[in-house]
Amino acid sequence: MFSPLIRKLGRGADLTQADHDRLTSLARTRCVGARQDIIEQGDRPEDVHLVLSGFACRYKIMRNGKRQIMALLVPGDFCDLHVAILGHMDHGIATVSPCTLAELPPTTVLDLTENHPRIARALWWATLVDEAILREWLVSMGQREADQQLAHLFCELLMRLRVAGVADADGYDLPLAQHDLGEVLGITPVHVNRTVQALRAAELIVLRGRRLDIPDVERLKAFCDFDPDYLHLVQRIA
Amino acid sequence: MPRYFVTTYDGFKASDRDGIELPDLDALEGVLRQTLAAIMHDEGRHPGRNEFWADALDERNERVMTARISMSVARP
Repeated sequence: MFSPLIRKLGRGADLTQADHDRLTSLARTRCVGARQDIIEQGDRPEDVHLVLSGFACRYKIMRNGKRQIMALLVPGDFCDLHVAILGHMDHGIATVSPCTLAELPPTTVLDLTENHPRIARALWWATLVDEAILREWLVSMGQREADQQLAHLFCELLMRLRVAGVADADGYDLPLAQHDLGEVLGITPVHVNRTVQALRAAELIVLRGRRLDIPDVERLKAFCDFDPDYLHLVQRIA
Repeated sequence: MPRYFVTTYDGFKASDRDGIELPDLDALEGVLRQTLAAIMHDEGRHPGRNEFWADALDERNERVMTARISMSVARP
């Protein structure tokens, strides 16, 4: 159940068997249905949540009811590692699909960071990667056209889900409806539909129900100028 | 809430089979305006892409709204 986390953190540091054992003994887990809040804006954060299966998202709701998704959280991703430092949440976190979550009390996070140096390094790496993804999304929203922006998101998810061990070489289950994709990209569902159809017509993607297949991954990457460097999947050589 | 099915046009036609649920026609107008403005923002920078349309059908397959956005560039 913890293999996505171990696979992911293994990209950030050389974890030992003892580190693996520590990570697999993490706290309690719970299942949450689709489209449920895990924590709401304004709540006082206590436990740290870790996604073990399914998709979750970080979001803000505007006064007019519109929602912007600022991050997609996939298996192996923490929802705010050091959030217990903050007095209240400035955004919400909700499931997109049914999720299995691990709940880590702040004392566990403290133990991981203070007594397990390789895990601590991997967690810092994961936090930096989260920030790098956010930067790339900002670039996408500011500079990429909708078709490139969507293609870039599909490439990013392919890489991230492969690291977690829950994607094939050229496809994955994508539990995001048009509406959700619109909230990620900041465009209307009608525009998402047009964009999906444009990518489909160019034979860059095959989207059937909730399954995305990419006939030629290198071609899709070239189309949206996808460079996976920002995911930092290759460890720094000392 | 009523469901509307929007098709956008320019170089190609993109129909939406899923539809979107919206409270009323004012909300639909908001979506069409925002969508066409965003399509123009993205695609209008390419020469020759000067006009985009959308129309919306209701669940009885009756057209309830059309919208159009266009750009003209002159070199006097």
